[in-house]
Amino acid sequence: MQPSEKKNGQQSISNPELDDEEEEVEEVHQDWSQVASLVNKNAALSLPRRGEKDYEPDGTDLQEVLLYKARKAMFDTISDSIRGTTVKSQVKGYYVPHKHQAILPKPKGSFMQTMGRADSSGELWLDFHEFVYLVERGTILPYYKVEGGSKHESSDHDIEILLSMEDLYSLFSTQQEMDQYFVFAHLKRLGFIVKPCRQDMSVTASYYPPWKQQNNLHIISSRFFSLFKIQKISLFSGFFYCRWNFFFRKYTTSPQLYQGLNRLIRSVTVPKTRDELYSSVRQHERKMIEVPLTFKVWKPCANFKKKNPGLPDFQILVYNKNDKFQHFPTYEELRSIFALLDYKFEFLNEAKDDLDWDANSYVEGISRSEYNTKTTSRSRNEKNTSSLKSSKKSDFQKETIKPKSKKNSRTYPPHIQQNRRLKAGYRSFILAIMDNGLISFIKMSEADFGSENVWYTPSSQSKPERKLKGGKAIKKATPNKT
Amino acid sequence: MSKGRVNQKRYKYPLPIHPLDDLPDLILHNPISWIYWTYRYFKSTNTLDKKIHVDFIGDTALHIIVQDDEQMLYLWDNGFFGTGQFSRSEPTWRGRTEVKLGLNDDPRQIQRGTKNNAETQLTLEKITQQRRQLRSEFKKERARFEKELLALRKKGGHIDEETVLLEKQRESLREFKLKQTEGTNTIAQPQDVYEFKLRNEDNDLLDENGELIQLESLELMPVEAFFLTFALPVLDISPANLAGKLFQADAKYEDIHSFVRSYVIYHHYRSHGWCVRSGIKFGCDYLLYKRGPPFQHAEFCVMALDHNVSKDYTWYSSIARVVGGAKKTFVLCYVERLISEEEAIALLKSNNFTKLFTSYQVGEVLYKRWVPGRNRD
Repeated sequence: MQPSEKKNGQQSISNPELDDEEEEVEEVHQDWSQVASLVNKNAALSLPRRGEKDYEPDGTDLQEVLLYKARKAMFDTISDSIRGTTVKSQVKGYYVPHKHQAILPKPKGSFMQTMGRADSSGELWLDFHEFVYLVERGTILPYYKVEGGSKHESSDHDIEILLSMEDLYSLFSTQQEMDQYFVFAHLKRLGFIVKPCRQDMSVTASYYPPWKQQNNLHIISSRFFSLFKIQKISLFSGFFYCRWNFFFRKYTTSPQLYQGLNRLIRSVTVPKTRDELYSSVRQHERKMIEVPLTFKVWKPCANFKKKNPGLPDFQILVYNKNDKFQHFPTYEELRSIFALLDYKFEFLNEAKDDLDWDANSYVEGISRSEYNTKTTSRSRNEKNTSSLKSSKKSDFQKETIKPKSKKNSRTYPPHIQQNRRLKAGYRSFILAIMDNGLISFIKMSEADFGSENVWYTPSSQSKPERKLKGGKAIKKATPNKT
Repeated sequence: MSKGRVNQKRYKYPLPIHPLDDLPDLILHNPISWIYWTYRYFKSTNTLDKKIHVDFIGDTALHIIVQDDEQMLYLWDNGFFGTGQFSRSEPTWRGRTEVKLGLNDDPRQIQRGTKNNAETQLTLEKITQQRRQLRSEFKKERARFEKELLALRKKGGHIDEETVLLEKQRESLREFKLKQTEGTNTIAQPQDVYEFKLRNEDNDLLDENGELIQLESLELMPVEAFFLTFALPVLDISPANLAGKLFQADAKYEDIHSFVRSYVIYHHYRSHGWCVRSGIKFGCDYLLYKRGPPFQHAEFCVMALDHNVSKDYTWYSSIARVVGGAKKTFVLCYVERLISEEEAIALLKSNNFTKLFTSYQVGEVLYKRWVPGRNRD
């Protein structure tokens, strides 16, 4: 057992760097030679794979030929497939101006799994950006309905006008809406599931449990401790920096010196654990600047449930660089955005292997796993009460089994863990910057260098081994010998 | 001794104030050892025997310099403070020049009285020079191969032939590189890259005994100097005097703001064990090293910002691009003042620096490019 563990440890040392390197590799573009080979078996032979770049014309026509061939492969592939829609499978969407939405009387298609809201009559309502996206993909045909003479439902007299793409784009109400659409469409085309944050979903999941009054004690205690921390800074620092410090005090190790230095600058501590997250949100409710997040994003997944999607993987804020009324968030704004975040906080995974998000998120006041079993049992007919029990049981089993299976892969030495904490930060959101149609994405994450110490402890005797201080705030760790 | 071991010994202390680590062993059942220990404990002190002397030169821009040879090295070895004016960071000009002029084959031996092996003889500047040479040899080799490929193309070779040739070339390039790295590992001799001829003006560098005159001095950033007098009593100038040199007597808050902000950040990272150096080479304010430049590359680039400031996106994106290109992590460090401007300036005037700096708060945000295509699963 031991040697294998050690091996794991070694691997993990090289891993973080590997990750970094991977990230430097640019996005892989579509290689049409592969697609072409599916369509035409001979095409692959003559097509070059993507390889070295030629930097300048080399005097031969080879580059031209290669380029031509690659382009031809793409066009051949596209031209072979049938385009357009068959009349039978045509889905019509009607724009409803006063709601700025679209209605699909006879919806069908796989998009329904992630988009739109069905009403009681079986019609599907699409948000405007979803509508434009699906039209752009060729999935639905956009119509504008002009109601004929009578206001009653006499569809014979209604005139349907087929809209063009330009018409649709002119229906965007603001530039901001259009920016948000571009970001939405970009992520959508990559396979993500994207929902506006403000959209009222039938069920919203939250990481935070419903507010309960009993926890007041917790807040008071945490406030008390934060007060204590500030006190500590002002009490002790005065002495360390006074001229006589080194006459009266003797420091026998470098960490002691560092601890003296430590007590000068206050730093913002960020929530790192579940309890800290809970209390931070409550404290923050008072001084909030409203910066609404734009989208919730889920990674592509097959069993996405529109009605009960669970916590998103990312949250996105869209900002237009060239809009005079928008700006890059200041620190105050960043902090209130961080406080608003409610997604799968990925840093919690670091501490605890394979966190069960269903058990740790809340839907309508109860934990999501409970909610899920409730709804499934309801749909499975109320008679079978044992199903609830069994499903609950299986859920329980899963929880206990999961952590065991993955534990070995996460035993990093403390200084590697610390490095990961420093580099990845804690709560984070994605900022999408729109600049004249170009979108760039940035991940902004809270960091806390103030609670990590990286000083090197010189080994006074014959120990040449590396002794990097890892672990969180080790203020108590070193014994005070004086 | 390996290079790591040498560095380990040379840079044993992360700060210029050393802890008392030479106390005798305390043996519990031996009272004499208690007495001896207590004697040694009270006799020894953390402070330096002789504080480091700094000079101030320049009228428009203040230069804070250390000119004594040993003191320069002391500041570099114990926490990597300052920059040699004629060197990249460590003040090595004298050693390099002595070797160049053929005055002394092993500069370090004279400088610090210890015998080191050939490996440590190589100054950072020389290592870079060597690396560049290897790189250019590699590029020449690659260019030769590219010509071969072009020749084949001009002859009208088929694509298959080309791929075969490419594969072969890649293989031999890989071997070439491997041979190069092996070569440097075994022969770590300081090969003089170019022939050096003694010029007339070089004689001016020597004194009447034929010894090289030290022209280089170590320049400290104002924040470094302040740290070395305010936080640790290392320099022979008091914090109040240094502040008097840095600011006019009638300084307004705008005049002191950027220094105070820089110092707050500098002290924040220093106090948590980072080696903080100027980040100007990477377009940012500070670089954070673990331990120091000889041990590891800097992993973080820090940019200072006021907490209520928002810059144009281009500002963030251009710095992030430079920082990302150097494989470092970009940290936005926001500083918030918790007292009014008047109070801050009053605290500075009354030399109450401790109170002044505790009235600031720092918060950090990491900034990283995000590529959707790589975050799908």
